[in-house]
Amino acid sequence: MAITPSDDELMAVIRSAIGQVAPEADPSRLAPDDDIVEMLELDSMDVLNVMTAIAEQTGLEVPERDYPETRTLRLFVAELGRLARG
Amino acid sequence: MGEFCMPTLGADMDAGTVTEWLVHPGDAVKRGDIVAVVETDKAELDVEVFESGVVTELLVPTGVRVAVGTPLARISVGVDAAVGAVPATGPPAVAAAPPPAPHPSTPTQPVHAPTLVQQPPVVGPLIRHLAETSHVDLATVPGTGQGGRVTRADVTAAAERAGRPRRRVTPRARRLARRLGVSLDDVHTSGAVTGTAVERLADTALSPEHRPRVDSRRAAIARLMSRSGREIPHYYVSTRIPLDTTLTHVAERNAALPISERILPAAALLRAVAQAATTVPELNGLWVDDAFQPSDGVHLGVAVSMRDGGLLTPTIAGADTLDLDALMAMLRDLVNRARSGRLRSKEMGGASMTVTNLGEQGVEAVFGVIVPPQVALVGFGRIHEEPWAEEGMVGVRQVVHASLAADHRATDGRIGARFLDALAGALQHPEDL
Repeated sequence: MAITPSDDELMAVIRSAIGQVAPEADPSRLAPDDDIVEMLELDSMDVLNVMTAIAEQTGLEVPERDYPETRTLRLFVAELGRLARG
Repeated sequence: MGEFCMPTLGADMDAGTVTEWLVHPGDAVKRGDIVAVVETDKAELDVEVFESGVVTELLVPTGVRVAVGTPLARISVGVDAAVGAVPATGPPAVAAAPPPAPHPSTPTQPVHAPTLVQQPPVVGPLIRHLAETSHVDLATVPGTGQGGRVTRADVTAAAERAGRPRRRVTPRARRLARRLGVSLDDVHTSGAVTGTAVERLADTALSPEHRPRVDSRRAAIARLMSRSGREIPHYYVSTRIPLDTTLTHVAERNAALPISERILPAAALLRAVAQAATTVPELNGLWVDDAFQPSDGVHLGVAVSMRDGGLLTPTIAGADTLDLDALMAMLRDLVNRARSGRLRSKEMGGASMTVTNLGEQGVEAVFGVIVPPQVALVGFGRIHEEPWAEEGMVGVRQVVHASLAADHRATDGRIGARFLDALAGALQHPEDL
């Protein structure tokens, strides 16, 4: 990605990916420091689908070992930011 | 002349409701085409047609619950697929409809159909359904189709003229609305109508005494599980299986691959079950007429929990013939479609053994109830670290608790123990999975 996306843009991408996987969940209910998996009762297939949706939109592929770094929205944005900057 | 009948979409299904017709009279269909969406007590499923031909008549409108085996549509087989040829050659008097009226829903139109269809056959149920959901009065829609027939495009155009574009309604929202007795018209959202919106409306609109007490999906599970409890003398065995080797193998494999090709440990567990079922075939099959019928392959029913509660168990057919990648792809596809209400009829039923994985919900172990007429169910708990004693030393390992519920009429505990042993063994050699 030539231009590093802003945190707001990354947040929007994450929320939209979560919205696709858990359409009945209200992503606005999710606070920046909430545990995403716990709050929305996601399973490993859901997490894989979130990661896939983000990769499709941004080309950013979160390595599996970094999944713990995506526990909350705040951490997730930081992780994607790191990946985007290379 | 063939008939397309209400299929049985699971051992416990005795009736179903067409919620959507995806074809209408005159449409050419070929074997395997999805022609209708059918709702059972448990789920909405895409239903395929088993012969090729031309649909001459839809016999059951949407929303009417009919027994398994009831003819739903007539299909004329071998007729030239040209749409115009159908009314002339189709044998039933019904298909050769009276001259199409410009306003097909005018009730004075004679009704010849000896069936549940109460309106002139010139307007198919699909179009009526579309008109209903788009809030369009069919009597006011000028038809541009053959003989003045109102087409899909006519209805859509009328809806747009009226400024009420057809809203997208998620399958879950449709199910919930029906179950909770909520009209989708009353749901006000800017985008698609979701299950959450329906639930919210139901919470505010319905006082507790007006809410339907019986959840049909719950009732279907209740029937099947009661039958299992009545008929099947269960026995249980369980074991702890160290998973470090398998998890390391999966992680190393995934590290080198793009997200789309990554696999989940769940796929490795399923693959190991398929191997163990091949090694111990006494557990892989059905109990029919007081005897065990071994299955010709390993067809794994996989319990998938729905986000709004409830459970579906679509089948991975021929799991013993799939490698880990293929099995993962199949699992992913099935889980995603089960959760979005888009399973196909052939994917329900036909399982020779079932696997449930409640580990995702955090429990340490699960002891399941066998799905009749199967004779075994494998349960996996959460993958977690625990102390592990081996050769006089205590270490910490990643462990999964695996259980087997089996039908004592078909096997004894010795066979069950052999199965779990084979399962544990397979998971120590992930390179062979």
